[in-house]
Amino acid sequence: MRLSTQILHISVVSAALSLLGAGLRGLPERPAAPPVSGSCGGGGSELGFAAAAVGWISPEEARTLLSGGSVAFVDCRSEPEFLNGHVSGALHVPAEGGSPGEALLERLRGAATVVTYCDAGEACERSQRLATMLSQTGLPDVRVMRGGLPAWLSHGYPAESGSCPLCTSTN
Amino acid sequence: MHLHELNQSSTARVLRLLCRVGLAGLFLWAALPKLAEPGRFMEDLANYRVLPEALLAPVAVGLPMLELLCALALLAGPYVAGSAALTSALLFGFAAAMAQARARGIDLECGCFGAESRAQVSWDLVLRNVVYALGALWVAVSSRSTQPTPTTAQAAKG
Repeated sequence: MRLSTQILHISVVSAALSLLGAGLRGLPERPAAPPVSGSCGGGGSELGFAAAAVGWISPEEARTLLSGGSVAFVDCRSEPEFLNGHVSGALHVPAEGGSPGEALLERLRGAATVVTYCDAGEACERSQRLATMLSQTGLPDVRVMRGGLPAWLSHGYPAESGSCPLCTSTN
Repeated sequence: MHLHELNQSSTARVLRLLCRVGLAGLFLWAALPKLAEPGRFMEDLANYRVLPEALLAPVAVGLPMLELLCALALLAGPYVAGSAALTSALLFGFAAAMAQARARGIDLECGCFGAESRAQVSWDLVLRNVVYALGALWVAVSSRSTQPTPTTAQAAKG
């Protein structure tokens, strides 16, 4: 049997079985994120996170985006932690605070990529929850920074301390 | 046929069989968890940021099925060359998807073997996929050249 015929047979059978499977089980949906107490922005369960599209970003790539001015960082740690130090220019949406206001969302819509972070990478679900929520507001590219602030600082990337003047008027 | 040629061809046959079984095992291991949890696989696919949203669900259903059939066909005689060629193409595709993610600085889990395997995408993983792909390509080419054509089959009968 010719090679192309073999490939065709396998592909057709695969497609037919996939269609059958999809017909019987339906097309898959992304799993819903588990509810997390004290999630960033709060009110996560009311918003329904089932269809979130959020990926990861490394500190290196986030730094590159920062140089290009096309990124907005969102810090979801507590107020004292934020005051002590954060990514330069980051906005602050603390876990214990309310949902981000429309003005803050409007500011985030001006960025090509929004990066959330907290104190760790995969272990910090707060930043994942916030990223999911922001993604569901229609922001096209929301990512969670792998390793969080410690990874950012370990690279010696720009950071600053103090409050977030933009947040008081927009949050 | 000389003795050393006979030894070479039997060595190649054994090597090809090992490659077939190895690749089939790899693809079975990869396909089954994804078939069981297509939603999780869809999530992994989305993290690569290559496919448009509309294609995520069809690919999450179709790709594991293709992996499963390739695995089974690698073990079955008549479709070895075709399944090995498809396996090679898939592995090159996976390597390309991982390479673009690394090149863009996207730090993600490969999703290669379902939710239980959370290996990070790395250049090592890209290289490993290329090696597997080359192995599958060799199986496809060598299986094809050893399959009897209608002419040679008739000559053998005659």
